[in-house]
Amino acid sequence: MVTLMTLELYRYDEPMLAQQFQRLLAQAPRFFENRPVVVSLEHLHNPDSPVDLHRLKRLCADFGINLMAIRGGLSVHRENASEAGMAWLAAPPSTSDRKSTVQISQQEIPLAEVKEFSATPLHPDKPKPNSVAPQEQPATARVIDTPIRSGQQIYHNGDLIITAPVSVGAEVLATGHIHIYAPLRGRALAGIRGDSKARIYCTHFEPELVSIHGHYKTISKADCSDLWQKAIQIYMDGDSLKMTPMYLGPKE
Amino acid sequence: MARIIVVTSGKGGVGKTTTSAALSTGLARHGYKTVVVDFDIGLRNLDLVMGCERRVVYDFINVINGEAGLNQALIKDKNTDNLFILPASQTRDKDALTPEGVDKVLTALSEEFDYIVCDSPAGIERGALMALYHADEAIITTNPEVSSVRDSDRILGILHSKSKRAEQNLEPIREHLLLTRYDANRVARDEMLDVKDVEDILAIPLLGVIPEDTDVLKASNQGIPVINIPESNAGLAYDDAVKRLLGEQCPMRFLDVPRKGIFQRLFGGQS
Repeated sequence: MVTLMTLELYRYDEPMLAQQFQRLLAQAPRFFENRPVVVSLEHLHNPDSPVDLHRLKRLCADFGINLMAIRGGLSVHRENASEAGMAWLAAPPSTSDRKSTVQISQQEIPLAEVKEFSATPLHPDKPKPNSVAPQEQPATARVIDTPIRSGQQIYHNGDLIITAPVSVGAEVLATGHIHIYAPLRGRALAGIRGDSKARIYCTHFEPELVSIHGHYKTISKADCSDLWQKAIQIYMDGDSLKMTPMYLGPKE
Repeated sequence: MARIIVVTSGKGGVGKTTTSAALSTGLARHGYKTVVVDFDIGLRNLDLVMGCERRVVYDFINVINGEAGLNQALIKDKNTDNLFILPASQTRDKDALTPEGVDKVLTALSEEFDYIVCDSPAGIERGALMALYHADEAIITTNPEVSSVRDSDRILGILHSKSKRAEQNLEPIREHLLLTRYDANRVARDEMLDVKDVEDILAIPLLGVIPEDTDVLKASNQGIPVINIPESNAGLAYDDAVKRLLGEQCPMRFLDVPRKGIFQRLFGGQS
C-alpha cells in the first residue's frame, strides 16, 4: 500500500495558494520531498468553478510538489486532469467522516494548513501581495544532494539530478532524464511516463537495473565489465537500450 | 540536557551491545554521567555484557508502565563511576515499547544524564524504530561484509525519514560509521571488505575501526565491557572511538596487517 498525501483544495486562487505553499515550506522545507501528492476537489466551495489543472500542477511543481492525481471533482475536471497527465481517483464513499478511514498524521498537517487557509478571510484590509505568475516551464528539474539509501524511492516528474550515491536497493524514477554525479548502485528508471527520448547519465556505473521508457536491463559486473564504474549514458536507440561511455575530461 | 546516541545496525550479531557497553563505559570514564538503555525487549543481553544480570529487579517496561520509578530500575555500575544501566524486560515483547512511554523515560533521563546510549535491537521494526527515534547521534555498527553494509545503508535511510529530527525538520542526526570485527589479515586476502569500500558505500564519517579480537568474547562472557580489559586491541580501539566521539583527533589503528618480527618470521610465531 502506498501512502499519498492529500491536498484539499477549497478555492482555486493561485496567488493565495502560492503564498500558502511558501509559508508551509518556510516552516518545513522538506515537507513534500519525495512524496506523491493528490489534490482533492471534493471540498471545493464552488464545485462548478473551473480549475486549471495544468496551471495548478505547474504552480505546485514550482514548490517541489509532485501532483500525481486528482480525487473527486466533476467530469470536466477529470478530462482536464488527463490532459495534464494526471490520474483520477474516485472520492472515498463517506467524505464527511474521512478522518476515521485510513489517515496518517502526515496527511493531517497539510489538511489542517489548507483548512486554516480556507477559514481565514481574504484580509481585505491588507494590500494584496504582488503576485508573480509562476514561470512557464514544462516540468522542473529536481536536485538531490543527499545519499539515496537502500529501500528509499525517489520519484520526480521532470528531470532528476542527483549528486550523492544511489545505494544498492534504492530506486530513482523520473519522467524525464536522470543525471547522477556519484555512484549509481541501485535502480534508475527514466522516461517512465512514455518518454523514449529520456536518458540516464551517471559518472560511476554500478547499477542493479536501468530502464528507459519501460525497456529495462539488469546489470551485472560480469556482463558489463567494460562499462563498470565508468561514466556511462544510457538511451534508447530504436527498440534497444544502448549504454555508451561518456567523456569526462582528461584523466589526471 | 543529555545527548542521545543510538547504537544501531539493521543486522543482528554485528556488535551493537558490545559497542553500547564499551562506548557508555568510555564516556563515563571521561567523567560524563552516562546511562545505557537496552531497547532489545524480550532478548535482554546488555545486562550480561555489563555484568549486572543478578541486580536486575525492575526494567524499562516497568518504568514505562508506571510499575516502578526510574531510580528503582536504574542499576549503578560497580566498576565505573557515572555509569548506569537501564535493563530491558525479558518477559515482554517489543510491543510494550510505546512512543509515549519511551518519550517519557528519555525525557526524565535527559534531565539527569549527560549521555544516553540506546542499544538498539536488530531489524527495522518497532524496537529499532523506538531506539532511533529520539537520537541526536547514531553509531552505525557495521561488519566489513556486504549484507551488513546493505542493512546499515537501509537503517541510514530510516534515520533520514523516521527519526524525530527528520520528522520535525530539525538538524539531521549526526551519523558515525563504526566498523567492527575488522580483520586486516582477511582484508589483505580479499576475504573482507576494506575500510575504504565500506566508507565509499555508506558515505558517512568513520568513527573507528574495531579489530577482530578474542578478548571481546572473553570479556562478554565475564560481564566486563571490553574497553575495561587492559591491553586488548578492541578495547584500545573503542577508547579511540570514544575520544573521537568527544571531538578529539586521533589516528586510526589496527588497519594494517601487523608486521612480524624477524623471529616470528623465522619460526612462524602465532599472530
